[in-house]
Amino acid sequence: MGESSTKDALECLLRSLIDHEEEFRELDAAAGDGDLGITVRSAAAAILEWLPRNATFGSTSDLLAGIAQICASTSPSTFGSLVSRGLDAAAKAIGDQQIDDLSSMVVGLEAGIAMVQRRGRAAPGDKTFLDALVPALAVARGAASITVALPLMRAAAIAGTVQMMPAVPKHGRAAWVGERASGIPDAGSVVVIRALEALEGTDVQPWDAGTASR
Amino acid sequence: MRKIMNAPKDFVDDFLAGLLKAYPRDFRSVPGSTRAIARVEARGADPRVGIVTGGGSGHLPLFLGYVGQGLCSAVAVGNTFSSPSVDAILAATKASESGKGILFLYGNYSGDGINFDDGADMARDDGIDTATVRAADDVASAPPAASGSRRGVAGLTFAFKCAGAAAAAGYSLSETAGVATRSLEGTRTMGVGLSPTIIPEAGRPTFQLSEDEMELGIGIHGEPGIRREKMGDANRIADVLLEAILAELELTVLSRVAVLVNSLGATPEEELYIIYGRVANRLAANGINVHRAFVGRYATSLEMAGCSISVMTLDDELTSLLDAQSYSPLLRHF
Repeated sequence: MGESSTKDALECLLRSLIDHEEEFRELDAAAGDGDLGITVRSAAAAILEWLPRNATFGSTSDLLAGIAQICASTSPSTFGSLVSRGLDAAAKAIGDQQIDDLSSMVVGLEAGIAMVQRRGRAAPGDKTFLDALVPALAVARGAASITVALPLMRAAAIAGTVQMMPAVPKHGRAAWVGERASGIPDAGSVVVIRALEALEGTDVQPWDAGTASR
Repeated sequence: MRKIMNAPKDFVDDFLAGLLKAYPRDFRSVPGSTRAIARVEARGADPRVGIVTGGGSGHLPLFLGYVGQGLCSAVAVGNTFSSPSVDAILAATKASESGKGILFLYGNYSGDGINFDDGADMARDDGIDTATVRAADDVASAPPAASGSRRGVAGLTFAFKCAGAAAAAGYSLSETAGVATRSLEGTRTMGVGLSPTIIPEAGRPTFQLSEDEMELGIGIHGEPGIRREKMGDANRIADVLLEAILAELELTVLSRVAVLVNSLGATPEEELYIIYGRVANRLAANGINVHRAFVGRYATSLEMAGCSISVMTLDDELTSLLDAQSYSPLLRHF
């Protein structure tokens, strides 16, 4: 990926997240407080506005740090704050490397996920967006390139999310719902899946059949 | 959705602008963030512990309304039902610091904790002493074994009043934090929701509830509660909430308490007094002495219908702190 394709991919991802606002809102309302759609949409819109004017696509690290800062100021919700801290950690870990290199993406994901686990005091299996991210990272490690990795990552993220659907969440507002959140996919994991889909250029609805209504 | 507003995305900034214009003698915006509001006399005449609170918008008079004389010194304001930013927290902190340190006093929510902790780290880098106390008074949000993960709701207001009085009386940072901790240790809250709320930016109800249902244990963001029941009468509601609260407080004959019957937004005062009447009778029957009662809107969830009951256990020190004078233009009786 060159600078223009990085920009294109990022814009595609952000627009896709905005398009899925209602889905995030509904999943979050069923299990939490329903603000995830706004959180994701407002951050994505702010980043879209910022990109053409300020982004330095030459440096992946600077780009990620800039996006982290926008998440922190525009959408400092639990999800937004954790994504911001994760992106910041990824930026530091990547340093001078470029994101179009699979190994630097893995390095960034590892650092970002570690930070999200630490600050969110959560682990895979707690029914958070780690259940999508951690399996995605695992398959990315063994892939030959980013292009090869993305469909595998999406499939792994979906599998991780679907596997946790029957579980009761342990963190955040969703945890208070207890049993009632069983059968509903974690909204943050669905954000991860939608992001991976957008990067890959697909759009499927793997959990429609299982989505519980309150 | 019928809401009085302009662009939904401007909801918070618009209400803040109007509020600052309405009470220029009481509130001021502070440098560094448009989402930090301080008391006009946040630092007071003498150095004192500053109390910084914060949380999502949509709960007025919580959190902003508890910035005032004998209460908090500044607040960091988030989007509707969403955590305030680190920038806002840091700006509120700097506006409050007068050399005796800052107590961060807020509700136990993941995002608030992450951002307040980062704000506290940055404040300490600037040489400011900090302490943190999180309210986790909602009995419906986790079982007693996991009480540390409970959410903070209306009982937080008792901690504002006691810690605010302590700070005004010249207590040190650790003493002020101790007062906040002790007031929350003896406070329990539970709520009931009768209708959903609509986040302005989302434009849709946060949940659906049938006409003849009530949601027991609802949170102040419309988080689903512990169970749904067929709508009960006022006595039934008061009994269910009070029993859950009393089961966790070690109250005996002659125990002294403060009681808060709080509207979640839309429920009118008449209904709150019906609830309070039952609560007062039940407590009197158990020989428990209600030192003070607060009935009204203290911690809301926009236009949600419903109420919460909070009971706080009092000792002599907490009683005198609770009785100390306080003032905020957003609180009528506090």
